[in-house]
Amino acid sequence: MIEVEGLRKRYGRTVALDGISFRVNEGEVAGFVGLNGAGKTTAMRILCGFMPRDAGAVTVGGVDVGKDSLGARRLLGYLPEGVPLYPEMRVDEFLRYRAGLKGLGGAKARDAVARVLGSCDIADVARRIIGQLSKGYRQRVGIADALLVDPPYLILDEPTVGLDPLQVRRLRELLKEIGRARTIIFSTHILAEVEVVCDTVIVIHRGKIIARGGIPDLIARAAARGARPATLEDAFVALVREAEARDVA
Amino acid sequence: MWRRTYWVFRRDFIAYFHSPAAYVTMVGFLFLNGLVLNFEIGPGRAGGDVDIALRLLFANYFFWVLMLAVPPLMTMRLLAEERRSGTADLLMTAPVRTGEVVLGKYAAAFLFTAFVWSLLLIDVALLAVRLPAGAEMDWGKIAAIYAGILGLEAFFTAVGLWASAFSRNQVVAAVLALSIAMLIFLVGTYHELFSDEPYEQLLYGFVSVISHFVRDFAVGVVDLRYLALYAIGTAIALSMTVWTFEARKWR
Amino acid sequence: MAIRRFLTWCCGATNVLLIVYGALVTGAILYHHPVRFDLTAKALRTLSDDTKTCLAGLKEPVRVIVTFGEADPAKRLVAGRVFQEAQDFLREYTLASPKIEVIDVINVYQRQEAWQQARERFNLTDANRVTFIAGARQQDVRLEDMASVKYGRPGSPPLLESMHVERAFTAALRRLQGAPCKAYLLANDGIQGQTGPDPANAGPGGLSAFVAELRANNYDVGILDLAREGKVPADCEVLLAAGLIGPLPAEIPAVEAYLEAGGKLFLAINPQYSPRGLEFLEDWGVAVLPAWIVMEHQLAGTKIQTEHALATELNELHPIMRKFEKDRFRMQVTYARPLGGAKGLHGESVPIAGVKAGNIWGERKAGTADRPWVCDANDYPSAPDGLSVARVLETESESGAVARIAVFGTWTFLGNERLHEFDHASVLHNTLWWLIGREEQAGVRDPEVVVRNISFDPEGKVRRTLAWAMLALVPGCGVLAGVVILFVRRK
Repeated sequence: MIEVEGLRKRYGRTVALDGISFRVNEGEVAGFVGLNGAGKTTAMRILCGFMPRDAGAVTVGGVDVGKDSLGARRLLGYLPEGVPLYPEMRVDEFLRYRAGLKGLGGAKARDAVARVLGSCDIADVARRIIGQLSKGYRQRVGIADALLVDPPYLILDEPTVGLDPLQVRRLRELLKEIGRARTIIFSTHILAEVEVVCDTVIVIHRGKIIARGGIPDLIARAAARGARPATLEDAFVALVREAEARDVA
Repeated sequence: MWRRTYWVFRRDFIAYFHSPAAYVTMVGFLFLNGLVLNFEIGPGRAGGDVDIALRLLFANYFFWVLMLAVPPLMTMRLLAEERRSGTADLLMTAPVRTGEVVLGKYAAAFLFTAFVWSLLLIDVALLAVRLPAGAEMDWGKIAAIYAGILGLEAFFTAVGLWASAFSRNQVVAAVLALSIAMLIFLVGTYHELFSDEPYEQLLYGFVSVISHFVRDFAVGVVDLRYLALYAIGTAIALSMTVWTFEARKWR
Repeated sequence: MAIRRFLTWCCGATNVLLIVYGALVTGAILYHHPVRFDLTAKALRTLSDDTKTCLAGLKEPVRVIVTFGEADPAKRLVAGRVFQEAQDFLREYTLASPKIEVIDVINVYQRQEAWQQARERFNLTDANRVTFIAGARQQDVRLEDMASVKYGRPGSPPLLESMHVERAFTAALRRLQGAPCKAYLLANDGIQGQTGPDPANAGPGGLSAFVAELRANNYDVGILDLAREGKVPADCEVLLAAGLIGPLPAEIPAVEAYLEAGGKLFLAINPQYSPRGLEFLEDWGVAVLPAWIVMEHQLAGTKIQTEHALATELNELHPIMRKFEKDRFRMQVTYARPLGGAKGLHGESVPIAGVKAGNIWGERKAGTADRPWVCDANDYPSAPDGLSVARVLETESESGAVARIAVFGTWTFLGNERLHEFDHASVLHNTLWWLIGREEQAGVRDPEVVVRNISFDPEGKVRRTLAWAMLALVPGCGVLAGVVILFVRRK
């Protein structure tokens, strides 16, 4: 279970997160949606212990990220935005290195690397240099890295950006597959994906959570406010417009 | 803890051998040092006295340019590049402490710098082989010189690492590290500007790195005080690196 | 929020400050406790135990001033090397004992003003020396004391053979620190007054510098009119006679009684006059004979009455020789060389001596124990074999007391004009230290710093191959390695 309570973060004068709270239950796949600059990446960075928070509490699987950052990180797999990798390394070298960093040694590390190479379907590029791989493969290498220690919690920051439709579809299938036994938060602003993959949706706007719940819930809620949403996208637009109108008022 | 430090070290150390920039640095280093050494054993300089040639080498500003420039070139990308390309996110979300990352990267940079300097031994060995009869190379002296070089380079490497943590831009990091190293170097060098007194009388005589080399390491004496001075500098720079890198995460 | 961030920042800053503080404290402790490792193959930089004992026994602070500078470019290389070595050793000394302080290192050509000031302040006679100063006393260590330099033919650069800096420095320190030695200088009937060897005479031929040199070297010098006093004072540790022609009959019994009781006699004869009254020395084993040599004279070409030129022969000299590199010393004496027959004033045949002031290298040669100090044949090809300067001996009297006598066939090397030239002062001091039984003041054993005077590859062949290897081959290998590794990796 991932729990966020009253999380605040500001960069200088800009408020990035203004007291957000949400909860993702065990086994759920939660979509984190919002406009660009809504605070998705900031929230995720704080969730996985990379960035310190200003106020609030974050627990991952019962471990307080602020107090035991290292322990929380052990439970997490994280795919940063844009999938930054070391371009000069080979895929298997990279995964071996990451396994070592995550505390796996010797045979365990070799097994883990072999497992993720298989499960992410990248065994055929294992000896290639990362810098020469296509974007889709790099995404999958990133996900393979996140899956290395078989963590119960996964945080994926915009995993589908810049992929062609075929790659997006394959990645979606991969996510579905790995999401069966894991709690996943993934951020995106492509709502079609959310509809396909997620159980629940968290909508964040300007550092605040404006809605959360199951997809039918959201559509229903938007409908209740007078809109006529047919899809999640329509519901999202309606919710954001409403929030903006509130802000103006 | 040591396993994670080792993996950080291992990746960065191997990365040097896969980067063209390191080879360019290495070759340039070898060429320039060969030039300096050739100049110093030449006519009108040491008069063929190997001891004097070695001593002149350390008074040669060319040598010091290399001394000052090699560590920043080796460290400039270590942390700056991680933050610029975003791999810092990847690195720091793995269960590693900042200190482990800094230590691993420092070890990699320092060992590679040491490797680059050890290449100079090829030149020294060539010189030793070609020495005329009656002359011999005092390898103990060479060992003392290397103790000095490695000690000082350890310090400059730590300074370079700090600069790399400070800036997201590699060039800025390199220039910053070089400036600090230069400042440290210059402290004792221009003592003539301030006073006629001999070095011993003055505190900045003690911190003058060039005099450490010309007066002690080059004559075959390893003075632990100087190595301790470098170690202190290294400890300060590394702790500042950890601190700076942590603080940078706020942004 | 801001407070929380500020607190985290402060926590980091405090950590850094704590480390800085700890580091500075460690540094300050280390600064005062130097730990040095000498890695040179022959432990050249490690002070000997003798030196350490001497340094531990220092009673008062010793200040050191180094002055050097050589106008002659041929000699500059040697001087530069020796004084570099001297500074290196001074560094070891200052680190080994807080009592020693180097107050200045002056290159007299670069810092003329400082040199002039130091010269006046410390009464330095000349540059190219390391001066140790304790209170009012001071000791000079000259380039010749620190290094053995081979002077070749005129025009060729001198060659540095070896260096003994530690030996020279420790000897100087011991001399500075020893208890004063009571010495009496005989006021005799030698030529006195304005030109003669008189301690009151500050002119070129006087002995004022001699007395000053002794006083500066921790001797308490008294003037003794033996004819009037009748006996040598009981506190006399060494009896000096310089420029002596011969003792008065009344003085001889006093000297003999002194020697009988284990006295020490230093005698420098005036060879320009027929010596008289020295026969008593034959009882002690010294025969004063006429000979060619040891005429100290500043006027080359002067006709010399060679039959009056005296040389004494030497017997056993090893303690005195200790200071000199490979048992060599250097004195400048005037060597009278026969140029052929000439008619004297009264028509007699007089050998004309070509008088030439030159360096005489004394050398103790194997197999000539009776004539240990002989002229080096290389320096003086035409010198007669067995060119002797002095004779020293040790005898046991009937009462069992050990008397020591040193007789020099010349005195002018002690005169004001010559005393500070070449090894003259060293010859004097060595002899005196041997006489009074303080040979250790001459020096300590130290590792010999052999200078590798390699005329490195005169044709430049070796250098060319080295240049090729260092500038092309080695960097080329680096390029090759880079290309191969990167190419293989990309494949």
